[in-house]
Amino acid sequence: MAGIIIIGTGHAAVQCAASLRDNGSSSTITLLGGETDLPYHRPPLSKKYAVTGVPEEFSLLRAADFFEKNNIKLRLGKSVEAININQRCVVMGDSEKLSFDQLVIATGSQPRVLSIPGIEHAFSLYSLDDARTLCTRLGCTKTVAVIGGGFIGLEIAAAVAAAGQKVTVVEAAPQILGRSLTPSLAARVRKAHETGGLKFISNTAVDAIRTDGVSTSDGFIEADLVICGAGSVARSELAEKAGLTTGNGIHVNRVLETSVPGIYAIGDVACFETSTGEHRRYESVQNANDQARALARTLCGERTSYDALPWFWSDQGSIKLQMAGDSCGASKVVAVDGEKAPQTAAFCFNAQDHLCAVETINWPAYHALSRKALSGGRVITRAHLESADYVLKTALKS
Amino acid sequence: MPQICFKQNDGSSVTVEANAGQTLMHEAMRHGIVGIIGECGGSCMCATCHIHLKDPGKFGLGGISEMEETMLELEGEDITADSRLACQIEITPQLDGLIVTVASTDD
Repeated sequence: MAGIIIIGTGHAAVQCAASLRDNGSSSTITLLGGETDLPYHRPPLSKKYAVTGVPEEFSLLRAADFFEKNNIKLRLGKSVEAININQRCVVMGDSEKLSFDQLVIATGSQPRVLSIPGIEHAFSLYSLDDARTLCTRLGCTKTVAVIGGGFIGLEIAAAVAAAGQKVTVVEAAPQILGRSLTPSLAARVRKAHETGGLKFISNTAVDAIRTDGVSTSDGFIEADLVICGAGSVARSELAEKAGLTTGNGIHVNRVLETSVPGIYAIGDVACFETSTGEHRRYESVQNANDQARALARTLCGERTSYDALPWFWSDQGSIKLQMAGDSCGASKVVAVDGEKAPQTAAFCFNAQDHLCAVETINWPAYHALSRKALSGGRVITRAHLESADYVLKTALKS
Repeated sequence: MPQICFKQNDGSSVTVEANAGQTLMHEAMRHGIVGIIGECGGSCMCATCHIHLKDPGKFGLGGISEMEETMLELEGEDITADSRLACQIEITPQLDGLIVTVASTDD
């Protein structure tokens, strides 16, 4: 038996290998990845390491001896160059071929590269190595421009500003976090950041990047360093070249199988079919881990559809953003402010007036409760929440 | 360095030399303590580092935050009065001799 090959060494890949063993799999399991560091937690890169530096004991996904103990072959610094569907094998950069019975693609996502003149002067953050370099660069800067007001851009911007540097965020859209947060909450996040010293220039396109700053449709912004945080794209080139169905990621069905039987995709790279037949691609730790667990069960013989509640968090300086559910397509949003500003919960309702997502700023207890409210097939209506004055604890009891 | 003893689900114990300044979760994971997963990396977003502490007051450990308490209620199994999330406990020299029991995991 050739066993199971997992391409990737990130959250989804490592969890899948671990869950396969938890579920009693005795297959040969091989993880292949281009990076040379032991598998690590990615969230701290933008939230912390880029500014504080990467500690010698960075946050590992599993203890160093976990892989050997569990008979999982971890091959670092091994980039896969091609997937050969007919021969059921992957081809490595050094032409080595490895056969598989089942293949799991967990290649993740990478920062979007904008087509702007001078983009080579901009820095983007993907790996632990990038965080090491960025931290060194930030050691000799005083002013920083961040292109993109999404999660990663804002996390870096807030961390750099907290370290005492002057930071300007340039956003092409009218509002920051436009793709991921409801407008009323995004406005509150922006205000809190402005109070904290971040400068925003929105509705403004970047025309060119220079070593001394960025030219925009609104004038020149001086910066010793330009950081690009303009979203991520799925790393699906291998799948595309192999002829798998792709388009905003690798298309997979309810059990995370691609258009080729026996080949699966999980995590950031997977564009999966939801229980309502829509296609979604999430870039989150929760999604990576939960898909990995579902797939491990399927590979161990218990066919499992992926159906977990999505949740996400973003630490931006003193702002803790947390989301539960999917606010895509919400038709009504009710924002409730807490006592300790900035503290807000935004309740999102679908067309049937059922609660479909809750986004919170600095309100972790509400986040936790909303995950409870949204899971287990529970239906909470707007009328019900209104009658409880949007106090979630009350609403959940009645 | 403070010595901390982890009691694992299978009845075995592991005593580690912990680094002050790190969290209990980080040190447990570094030493491969079984049952401490730390899925969210220490952001108090999951409860996969659920532990039980013996005599926390004796070691100068403060109370539990609302965030930690709610997350435990939401995700943790077998919650007791001495339940904590290891990611929310910073290691100090005072913790020398602390006994940590890893919560049972069925998942």
